[in-house]
Amino acid sequence: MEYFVALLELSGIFVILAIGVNYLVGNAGVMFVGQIAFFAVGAYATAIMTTLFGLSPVIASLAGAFISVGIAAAFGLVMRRLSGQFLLISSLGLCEIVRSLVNNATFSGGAQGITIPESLFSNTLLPRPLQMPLLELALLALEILFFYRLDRSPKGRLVRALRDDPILLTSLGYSTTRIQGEVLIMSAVWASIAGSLFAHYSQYIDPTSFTMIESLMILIVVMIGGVSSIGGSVLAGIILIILPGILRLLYLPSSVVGPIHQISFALFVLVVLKFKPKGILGRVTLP
Amino acid sequence: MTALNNILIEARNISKSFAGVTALDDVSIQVRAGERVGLVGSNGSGKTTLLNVLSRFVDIDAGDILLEGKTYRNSDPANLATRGVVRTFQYTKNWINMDVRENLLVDVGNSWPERLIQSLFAWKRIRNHESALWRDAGSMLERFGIHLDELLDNQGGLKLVKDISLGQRRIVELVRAFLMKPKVLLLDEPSVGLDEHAYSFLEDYLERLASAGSAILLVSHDKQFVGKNVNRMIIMHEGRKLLEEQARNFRFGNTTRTSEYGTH
Repeated sequence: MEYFVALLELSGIFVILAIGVNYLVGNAGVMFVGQIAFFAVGAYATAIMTTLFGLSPVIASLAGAFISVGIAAAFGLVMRRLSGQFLLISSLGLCEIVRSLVNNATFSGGAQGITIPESLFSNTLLPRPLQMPLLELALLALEILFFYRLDRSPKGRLVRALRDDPILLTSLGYSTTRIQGEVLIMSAVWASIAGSLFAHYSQYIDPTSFTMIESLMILIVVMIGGVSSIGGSVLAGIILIILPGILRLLYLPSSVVGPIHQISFALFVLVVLKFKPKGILGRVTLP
Repeated sequence: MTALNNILIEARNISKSFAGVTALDDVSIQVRAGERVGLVGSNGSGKTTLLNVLSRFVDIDAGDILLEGKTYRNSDPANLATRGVVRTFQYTKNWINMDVRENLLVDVGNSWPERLIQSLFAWKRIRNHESALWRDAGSMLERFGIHLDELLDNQGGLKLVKDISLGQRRIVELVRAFLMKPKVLLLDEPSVGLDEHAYSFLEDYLERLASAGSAILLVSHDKQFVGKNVNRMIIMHEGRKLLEEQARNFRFGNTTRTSEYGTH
């Protein structure tokens, strides 16, 4: 049971990350797949500021979010001149820059990573087993409310218009690069918050948790759930994290668990894309 | 007549080549406030390129473009719309995955929808503002001959633009352009796909816009439409301005070949 709660906690973190990515990729149509960079910034900011400087987890998370905003704004300036596959490659480059930085810097513990003591997160009245699930639920509810409301606002309409036809949006007087940059920043803030949660959840982080593979994994969650669908990201995030957990219950020899996990994951993705090409709850296809 | 002397948009000796192929060669045109100018010519004569140049979607190689006497050669195309220059496209442009209402609720010149906090929290203000915009849009759609119930899907919601006819899409594009209250209106094949009723409302509305002081530049292969609805005609041929004539002195030949254009 405890194992499943832990898996649900982990899937909750990835769902928070995936919803932000979905808004950027699915609603705005920006082919940016470097969210794991902001996820890493959030995680490392939390780990470093709580362990080295003794700051509270909330302040550390906010600091991580601020740093992510700065990086997203800087990348937004670069993004003005990029689109399509060039943007996609550059965003993977951003992941690699952040991963290389934390892998080689001393402040981040290098390849050995950082351990986050559990006690840092226990300074509340809530019992320990409830802290993470409740915090995740609250943040998830806030995030869903934020993106749901945004999607139905005039701003959200401009964001979808950007995905459908940026030239038309330009002809009506709106700066497409500005809207792209703003959505990237919003998405980066949520990725950073998810990263902070991840640091508390795993209590140990190292650069291997923040590779391009993780970025692609989140993109797969978005595609399987359905682009531009918040519910889809929630569902796909839970399924794709819980699926390997179920395999462990089969008590298979450890030598076959890995390959079976990969095969079942690939099969699941193929089956969904064959029968639901827009994703499980998808409404639109990307142009 | 003073309004007619007021040049709103001007192209001055502009040239443009694409990969060595000359699309525009030393072309100059002026459109004054209250004037409707027709731009005609065979396929590939440079009409749409000229519209793309004037709306800043294409950079020019030489010459200058001026809005109310000031150059805007280096300005952003998005900035141009906020200064009253509105265009439509040869192949209708709408946001096809959005419904008709969303396609028409653009609010140019008013930047508040762009502000995130207001967009998220000023619900009442947004609702009132959008209701007013949608009322205007609805009444204009009706005058184009589209009743709102024609735009409803099976669930009673509004259809996405990808689910309406090509003629209706053209109307949605025109209504959006008109709602922006353009100072300069650049229209590319506006009459294509319109039924008789919509066609006649378009004619009326262009006349009304011009009377109110807008400058209209109209590209079309529809000889009847251009012949009836412009004050002045410019004929393009292989990237050059072949002829410029007051519409009353102009007659069309039997075909759209440039050699068939002429004057009385």
